[in-house]
Formats: sequence, C-alpha cells, structure tokens
Amino acid sequence: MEFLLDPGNTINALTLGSLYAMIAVGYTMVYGIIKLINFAHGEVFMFGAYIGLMIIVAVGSSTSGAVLWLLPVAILLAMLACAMMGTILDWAAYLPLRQNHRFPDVLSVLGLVGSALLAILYFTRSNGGTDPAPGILIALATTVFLLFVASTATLMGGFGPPARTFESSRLSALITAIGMSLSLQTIAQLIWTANPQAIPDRSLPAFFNETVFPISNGAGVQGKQLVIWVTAAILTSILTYLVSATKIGKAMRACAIDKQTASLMGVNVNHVIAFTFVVGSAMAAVAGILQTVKVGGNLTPRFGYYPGVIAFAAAVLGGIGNIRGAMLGGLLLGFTQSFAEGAGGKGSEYSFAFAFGLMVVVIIFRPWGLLGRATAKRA
Amino acid sequence: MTGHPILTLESVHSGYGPLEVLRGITIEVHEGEIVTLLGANGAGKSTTLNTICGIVRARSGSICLSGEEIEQMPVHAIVEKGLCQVPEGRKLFGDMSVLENLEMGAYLRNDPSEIGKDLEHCYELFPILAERRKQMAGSLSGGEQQMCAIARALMARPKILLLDEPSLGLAPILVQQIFDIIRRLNDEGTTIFLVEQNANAALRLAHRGYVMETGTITHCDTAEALLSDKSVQEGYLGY
Repeated sequence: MEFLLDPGNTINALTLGSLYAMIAVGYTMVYGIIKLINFAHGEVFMFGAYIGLMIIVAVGSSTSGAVLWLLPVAILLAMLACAMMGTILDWAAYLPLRQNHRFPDVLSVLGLVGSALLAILYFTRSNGGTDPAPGILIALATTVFLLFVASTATLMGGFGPPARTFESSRLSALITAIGMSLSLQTIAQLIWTANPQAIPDRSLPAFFNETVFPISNGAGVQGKQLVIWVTAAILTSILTYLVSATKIGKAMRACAIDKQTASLMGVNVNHVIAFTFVVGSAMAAVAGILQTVKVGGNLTPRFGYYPGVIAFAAAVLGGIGNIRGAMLGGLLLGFTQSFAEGAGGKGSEYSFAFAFGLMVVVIIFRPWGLLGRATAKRA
Repeated sequence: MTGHPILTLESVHSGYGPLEVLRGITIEVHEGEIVTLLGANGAGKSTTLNTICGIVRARSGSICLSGEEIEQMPVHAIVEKGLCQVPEGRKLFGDMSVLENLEMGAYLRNDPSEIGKDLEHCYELFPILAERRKQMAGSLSGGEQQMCAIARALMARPKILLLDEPSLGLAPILVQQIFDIIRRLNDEGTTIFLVEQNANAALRLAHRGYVMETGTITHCDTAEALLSDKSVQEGYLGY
C-alpha cells in the first residue's frame, strides 16, 4: 500500500481532478438548466484543445523560443471560440427542439444539405492531396454561418411568433446531443485529420517541464501542474462567484428551478441558457488546452471522449445540477484514477473502472449524488 | 377614480392543443382600478391570466397593454412593458433565499438605490419577510410564501399587477391580511387585476368585476351591482 503515501500520486490526482472539475461544471450547469446531458461537451473540450494548439503552433513557429504570454493568449482565444461554439451548438441543435413551430424542419433540411456537402467534399479530398481542402473549410463555414443566421432569425421571431415553451422532449434532445458529439468529431477530423498532434516542446516556457517544488527523492510539482492547479482554482472561484452573487447567476439559478416563472420576472430564458453554454464551453476550452499541455500532445478528434465521460460521471457523482458537486466529483474521480494508476499492475490497467466504480457505488446509496439534494418540494 | 384603459382584451380565444378554453372574452381594466375576475373551477380564469402574460398564446383577438398590442410578444418582453403576475401556487424559487427571490423580481431594473427603497417598502408591508430574508423561500409557510410572491412582483414596480388566487389555501385571517395589502397597493397607485374564487371578499375589495363561465364572460358590472345581482348571488356568493 506504499502508493497511498507517494506524494507523486497526490500531485497527479490534483492535476487530473482539476481538469475533470473544469469539464464537469459544464455538464452540470447545462443539465441544471435544460435537463439535457450535453454529450457534445467533450467535443467542445477537444475543439478548445485544437484551437489552442493551432495558435501555439502558429505563433510559436514565428517567434524564436518560448514566450510566456503565448499560453494565456491561446487560452483566452480558445475560450472565446468555444464560447461561440457553445452558443451555436445550443441555437442550432437544442433551441429548435425547445421551440414549438416549424423551424426544426427547416433546420434539419439545412443540416442535411450541409452534411451531404461535407461528405462529398470529404470523399473528393481523400482521392486527392493530403491537405485539408479549402473547399471543405468554406463549406463548413457556410453551414455554420447558415445555422447561425437561421437560429438568430428564429430568436428574432423570423419564423413566426416566439415560442411559449422552453421544454423539449428529453429523448429528442439527448439523441441530438449524441448526434452533435459524433458530427463534431467528424468535423474535427476533416479539419485536423485523424493523425495525433502535439505541442512543439520549445513553444512552452522551460519551467513547465521542470520540478518547481521538489518534495522527496525526485518527486515534486512540475511547472505545468502548478499552472493547471492555479488556473482551475481561479476559474472555479470566478464561476462560484458568478453563479452565487451576480444578476445573471441568479437568473441562471432561477431558470434551473422554474423557467416559466423566471420569464415572468422578465428573464429572457433563451439568453440565459445560451449564457450557460458560453460559460461551460469556455471552461471546457481551458481544460482542453491544459490537458494537451499536461500530456504533451496525442491530440486526436477522439481526445474529448474519455475526459468527457469521466467528467460526466463526476457531475453525476457530485449531484447533477450542483456546481460545487461537479467540482468535488471531478476531484474525487481524479484521485481515484490517479491512485489506481499509482498502484501499478492491474490498478493502472483498470483505472477507468475504478473511477466509474466509485460513481456506481455512490449513486446506489445516494442516487441524487454527494451534494445534490433529494427533491422534496413544499406546496 | 378610473383613468385610461391600461389593459384591454378584445374577443380573445385561447387554449391548449385541441382544447379551446377561452371563447372570445372581452375585458377592460382602467388605470387605478381593482378589477376582479370570478368564476368556478375550470371556467378559464387562470388561462385568461396566462394568455395575457403570453405563457399561453392567444389564437385570435387582441390584447393591448397601454395601447400596445402584446399578444405576439414573448413573456419577458410583456413583463418589460410593466405587467407582472403573481402566479397561482406562488411559484417561488424555493432553493433561493427570500432576498434573492425579491431581487429576481427587480431583474429588469437597473436603479440600485430605488431597488433598495422598494426592498425597504416590501419589508415594511411584510415585516415577516425582513426577518426571514436569508431563509430559503421553499421553507416558508404558505402564508409567508404568498406574501413573498406578492412582494417579488412589487419589486418589478409593475403598472398593472395580476394576482391569481392569492387567497388559495390560506387561513381566513391571512386572507384578510393579503386583501388589505392589495387595497393598500391600489391606494399607492398600482392597477390590480385579481382572479379569485373567494367571490365575496374579492367583490368587497374590487371596483368592478367580471364573471366567467366555461370560457365566456357572463356578467360585467360594478362590484356593488354584482354583489346584489340575483344570479351572481346564487352562483358564487352562496346566498
């Protein structure tokens, strides 16, 4: 049982747990407000990683050596891009399901045309050169733009009177989320190919891979681990403040409790939902980049799958809908997985099983999660 | 006493799916009035309020608020025009504190000092809320919840306040208290549209009243006239 005392495991656990926590809050916030498991959240994380990587590679190759501001800038830009992506995801895929007019049909046709166009371009490309053809990017951009225009038009009432409901069929939304997850993976493959990519070593400051806090016989905290801890601590604190003390945070909680009554207070519920996607997606983008920095690369379109499902498990473990619960769940699963890996042998082989096992055990005894509450409402 | 019409419904039809609940109702509320809408269970009273607020869409007819057509607007935009509803069953945000509930009422306002004054005013109207401002709204008693719901609506400084069965499930002494508050609000200048089953109390409070039966308006008169109307007395006042 020596691995339990190894400080290296605790350090790894905190790092992994911080990353899971940052992803898990996105699942839990979206679930809290529209009761949807946004399976495409892991893909937002993956896109964040790619966008960050592209910026680091592009800037890193034109500057000599590592620059300190490169990572923060890449993180900020990826947050911005993923925030937009989250909004488009909600407006294009989920909002139409919450509306009760004919727009979903229009959108489906649009989406089908876009997908067909993409498929054709993909196959013409695979016969030809190896670079992603500019045509694909143009088609992609056009599709996204059309979706954006169409959904904005819906919000403005261009397709008829505004919706009176904010609820979609839970099953349709869930299937749509799975569909979006797969589509986004395919789109990522079209843009960045399926070959693993890595951050060039020299584009990050040297201290990232050095031990900044030596603890004992060679073990210690690496620079990048410290960066991950600090970033996670800052962002989760900001999020906690945002939700508990600001106006938009209160509106988010009110919508999570009762959207119709929130609208009677003058809250534009669809804007609040979009904002929830913005916040969750931005957090996922940060986690995506930091995960890439942590493992040094191996970035593929499937990058978001495992962190995504574990973070989802973390959200459930902590009590889905509860933000602090998601953070706690992320940390717990990070610890479980890291210590299983630290134990070596079968432990490291089955580290995911240990993480999911913990979730299963917890929800057998507390189906509402660790910090969630069994709902009992007073009349 | 009464000023310009502030809220007008003109042969409004509305309902849910294949079910038509409102069959062409016409209602007028003037500035400064207390108008009450009476009717039995299932007559369409709550549907009327929800159609005005935009939660249920009007199928035909027009709804005007201060002369502006609102029947196509989304709920939050209607609220922005100065209309506020205290929904049936209170519908407080149970997992938020009393203070946060009141702050949600003032969601559309951006005048912190005025909001603070209104908060003080609400605490003065309902001292119990001041005591419990930190407490979760879901843990309040029924009467306290009703007060909190009314206070939350007041925080929006509505031009017209819609109340859906504020006396429902409350002890008689609390009903009296709630009705006194409604009168006081009206004296302070808020127009009130009150939906009630407690016809007796509502008519004693209101200036005018409408009586509704299966989706149509059957009576429309001053409160005194309705109180002494034979068919209203038999049907709703229990004489």
